[in-house]
Amino acid sequence: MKVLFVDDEPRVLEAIQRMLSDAAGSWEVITASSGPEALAMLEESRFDVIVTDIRMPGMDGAALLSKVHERWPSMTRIVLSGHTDQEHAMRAIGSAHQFLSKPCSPKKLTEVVENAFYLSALTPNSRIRELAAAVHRLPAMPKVHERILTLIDGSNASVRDAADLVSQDPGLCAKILRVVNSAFFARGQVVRDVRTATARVGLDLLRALVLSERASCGLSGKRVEQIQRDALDAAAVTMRIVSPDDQRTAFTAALLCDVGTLVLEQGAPDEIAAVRAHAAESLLPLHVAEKELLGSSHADVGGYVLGLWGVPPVIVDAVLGHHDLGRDPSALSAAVYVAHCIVAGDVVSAEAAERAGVASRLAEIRQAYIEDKYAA
Amino acid sequence: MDGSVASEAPASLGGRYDSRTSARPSVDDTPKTMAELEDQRRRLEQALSDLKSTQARLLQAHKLEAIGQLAAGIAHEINTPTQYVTDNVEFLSRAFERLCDLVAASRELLASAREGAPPPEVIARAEASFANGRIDYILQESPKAIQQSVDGLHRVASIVSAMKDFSHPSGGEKAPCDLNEAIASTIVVATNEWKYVADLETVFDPDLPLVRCLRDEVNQVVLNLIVNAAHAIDAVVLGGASGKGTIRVETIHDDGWAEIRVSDTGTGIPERARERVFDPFFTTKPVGKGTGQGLAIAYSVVVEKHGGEISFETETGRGTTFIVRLPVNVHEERLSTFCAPLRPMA
Repeated sequence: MKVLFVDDEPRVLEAIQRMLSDAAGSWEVITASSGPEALAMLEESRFDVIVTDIRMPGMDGAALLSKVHERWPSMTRIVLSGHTDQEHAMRAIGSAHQFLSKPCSPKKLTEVVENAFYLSALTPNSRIRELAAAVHRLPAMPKVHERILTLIDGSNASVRDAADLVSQDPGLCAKILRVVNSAFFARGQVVRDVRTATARVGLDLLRALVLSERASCGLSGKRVEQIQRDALDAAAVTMRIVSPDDQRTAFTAALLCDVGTLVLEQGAPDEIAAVRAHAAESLLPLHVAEKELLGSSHADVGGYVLGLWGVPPVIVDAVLGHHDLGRDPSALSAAVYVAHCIVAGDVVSAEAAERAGVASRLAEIRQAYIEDKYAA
Repeated sequence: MDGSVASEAPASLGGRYDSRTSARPSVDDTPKTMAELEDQRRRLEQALSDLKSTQARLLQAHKLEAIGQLAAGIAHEINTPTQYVTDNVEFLSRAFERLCDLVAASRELLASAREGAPPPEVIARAEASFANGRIDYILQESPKAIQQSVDGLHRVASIVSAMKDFSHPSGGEKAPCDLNEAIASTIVVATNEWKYVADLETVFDPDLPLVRCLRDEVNQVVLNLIVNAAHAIDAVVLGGASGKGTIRVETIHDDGWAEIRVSDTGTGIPERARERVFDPFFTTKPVGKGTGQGLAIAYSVVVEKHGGEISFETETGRGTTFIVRLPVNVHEERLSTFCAPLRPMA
């Protein structure tokens, strides 16, 4: 793995190099002291990850990353900055996958970089990987956004109502979890659910985020709405499966399972059309057809994107495993998996039910889902 | 807060205008005019006291805002050395483990050498802990890692002490102050404001005597001048994209006066703005970058509170120098009589 560190303070670079020298076998660490120097190095050879300071004289980190984003979209882009104010965060959020704040512990820094590298291996197809790494906006739900803005600008805005609306748009959910888990907010606390994330972000910033999202929509509203309805169905079933303590996290995880679908349909509509045809012809589930034709399923792509964005691992693992029971051993992932089986009308294996802890309640949960569906 | 100035002041001024129109009162009107005058005097007095308290509040608000901005910059200045000290210490602690292994192997080797020829496996172990390429790297890098960690900690300590120095409240009491030292602290505290756009050089007069002043407020003046200088340069070098400018801070002892000169290689003050730079709320900076309070406060602190002078020399496209002159040895009694009517903030 080849990593480029950029900082205008040479001592920061030297110390990082020393700190990582132990891992020399698996890491190749190169440093640059300015944006232009970094770009020159990137022209010379291929890097997997770039980690840059934000405030530097001349070209700043945000400008550097947006160049990198344009030119080498599949590279993982991480900010490591001593500035933790919102202005810088908003400026860089378009082109950086993750924000780390100085001082960042050696453990955290290596974890984040290694995790990004590990996730990129999930999408062996370089075009798909590029597509996923380049995404910084997911297809939005304009109607939901309108309602959020109306709510916030009205006189009775509450965080709870705002969070309920945010839950209806997986793209916005992902965005908010990303912002709230970045160094600019997190302060060491991991946020795993939409309600807490919305409260932490606050209505003013939520408004700004919604406005910044509105411009983009690469997909027809109808298609996004359908994907979102499916996600909400699965999320509702997941809520019935898990224990009350896990409900918020599980709901959020289930909601984000189709982020990969949004990415693929937005960026590779032709490939996805081919996948659908292939699935219909060979009677395959969609994720299997995706894997056959693209090398990775929407679960892989979604997990990769969310992982790059620093969404908590428990959610990333559930997304990666929502069609693949063997992927992750946690009960929460199993619950998300079972919920997807139920929504798809598939048989739930005894093992899956066992691991999700619903062996005895399975029929009841399925019945409740069907009743909800027809009631609606 | 701003509203009270705007609404009170014109009313009172209007009152004064009225008094002029009735400048030639007839005898009959006299009592009424006297009452009117009295009324107007009261209103003027009220307006003056409102103005004073508004000004005090504005100064406080400006201070808070300046502190907020400074705090973000200082956090960055501290976070950077903390980052490299943390990484270096991590490296050193792992290096220490390696060296411990090496010492253990060497001791074992020594012990068995004393008893005759060491067995091959002991030699192999010692060789293995030496042959590891890490040892050379550790020997080469550790002194630098230690030195840079020490430097980093000194840096943090000096920033913290400069902050303490900068913000130590004078409580409105003038006290003898080493301006060179105070300015040096202010420069450290403001590092993040200028370092991306300018190099900063200082020429301090070693013979500058102690100056009796409100140290925290003079610090605030110098800070405002440095921040202005950085902004003026920023407009030329565009965030450092076209090189850096220079800020030069000078102190001079000039016959009973302490002179502070802050020069920049920035845009210069535009012709149309020169008349108004000390007016409250006047600013040429973009919205969000300046409140138009910095120089107004500087004027109030230097001229009104210290009986000093503030002026500037500027050339469009070349830069600006602000010159603050403070009287060195003003006796407290003389000062208080001199300043009595002009000391709203005490």
